[in-house]
Amino acid sequence: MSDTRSPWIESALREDWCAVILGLCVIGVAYGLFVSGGSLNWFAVTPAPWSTPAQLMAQLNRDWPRYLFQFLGMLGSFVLTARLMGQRVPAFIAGFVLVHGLSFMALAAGAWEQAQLYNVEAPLIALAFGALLANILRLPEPLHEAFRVEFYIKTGIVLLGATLPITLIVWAGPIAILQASIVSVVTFLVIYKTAIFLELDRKLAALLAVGGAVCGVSAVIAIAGAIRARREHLSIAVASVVSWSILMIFLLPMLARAWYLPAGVGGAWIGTSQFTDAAGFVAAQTYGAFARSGVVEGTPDQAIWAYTLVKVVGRDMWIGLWAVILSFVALTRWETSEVRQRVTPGDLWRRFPKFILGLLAASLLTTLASQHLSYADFETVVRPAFIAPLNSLRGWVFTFSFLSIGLTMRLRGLVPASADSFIAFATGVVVNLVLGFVLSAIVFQSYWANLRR
Amino acid sequence: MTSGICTHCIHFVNAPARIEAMIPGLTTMGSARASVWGDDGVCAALDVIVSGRDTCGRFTERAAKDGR
Repeated sequence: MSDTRSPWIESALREDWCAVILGLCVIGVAYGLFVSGGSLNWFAVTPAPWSTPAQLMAQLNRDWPRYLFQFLGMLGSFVLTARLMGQRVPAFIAGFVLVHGLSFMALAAGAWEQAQLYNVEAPLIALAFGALLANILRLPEPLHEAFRVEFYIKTGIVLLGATLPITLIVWAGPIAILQASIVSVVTFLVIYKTAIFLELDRKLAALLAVGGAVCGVSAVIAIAGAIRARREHLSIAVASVVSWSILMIFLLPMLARAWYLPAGVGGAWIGTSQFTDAAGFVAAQTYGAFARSGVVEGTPDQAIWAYTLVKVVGRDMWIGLWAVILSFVALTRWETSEVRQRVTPGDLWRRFPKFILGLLAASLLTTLASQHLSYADFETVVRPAFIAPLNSLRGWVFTFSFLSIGLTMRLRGLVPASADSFIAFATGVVVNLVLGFVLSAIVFQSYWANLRR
Repeated sequence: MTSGICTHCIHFVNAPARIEAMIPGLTTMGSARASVWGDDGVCAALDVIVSGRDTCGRFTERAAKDGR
């Protein structure tokens, strides 16, 4: 970025704020259309379930103008934000054409009757498409401008806010924070103490510990800056989190399904024990699909809501606090480098993941806008005309993110962790899984199984 | 006194694209454009993640036209 920009403008152009602005604008347009008697449904088209290729082609023949208009609308919106964030626009456009096209293929494949029968959902298909393509072909580097896993998932989380009642956040939020805090502190201590026992560097131990305990790569980034970690240690911690997150995408829904956990309980467990937001949403959506097909009790919304409450409200929100505490510890007890640093309370805000404000704002605004309606009116009027199109658009944006995980996933390119750092992280993973299960499926089971609007 | 802080140093790298190229796997589930970065960057001299407000003995003033 240019040197002439003020710190305030630099902060405003971070992807978190861009995701908040974009998400709230979409919700505003959807609401404006709704109150004027229309709906965003025409724009928010997604492939409907199909059994034969002829049915899919018939859909395409009928809906291609809607898909074209949607593509152009999304392209315009994302190009604008890419420009604001200082990205290369021509490269972004080329990459976005690929992202949108492959996402359509993933959503269409996920809508196939046979895929739904075996719970092969669009998120997993998108992830697989991306990973196959990235590891078979060498995609041109400029296309990577549009493979923005974090930006898409943050935009999707803001859209999700419109479908998550603020009353639910107020009711279940404290439980989510309590559950997440217990697991975070225990997991942190287990990984950190194991790493120190194995004689790893204290700063590497701290990075591995927050990666496993708080919120994955974002926590590793925040704490690396707070404790002035070496770049090599940051790379090792990122590689550990990414590798385990990919494994957990498959392991957590599989284990939860094996025990027939209700959708909300499974979502809470995934929120407690998955490491990164995007990977967690793949797992939570996959588990929600089990509820839709009747394999487990509950609804897909419950899986997503419980996951969001525990992961985003319970864990992500506290990154700044972890950063300030560890920064103070590093400054007073560990500091050995020649860098002179200061810890200020302002770091709490500077490192706060601002997209959470978008989630809360969207939730508050849509709850206030619909508070005068009865439950029946909400289900028959608001849901189909206002909530449904936002859900569809969230599905698209999440699919962009899941596809981008695959497109950027090169396990061979990651910095290999030493045996000691692997053991330290794996020990924390086991403790986290067991404790997360006990809290989600036993201690707070009644909360997570009964999440309702 | 802010002239000696990392953000004005020739060794300070905070351009997102350069940071993402320096840290393998970062973009798979993270981003150098996220708020959690605060005003951090990579010190190319020490190979350490530093805040733009830090100071150290290796400070070298960056000319205004220099990139990061």
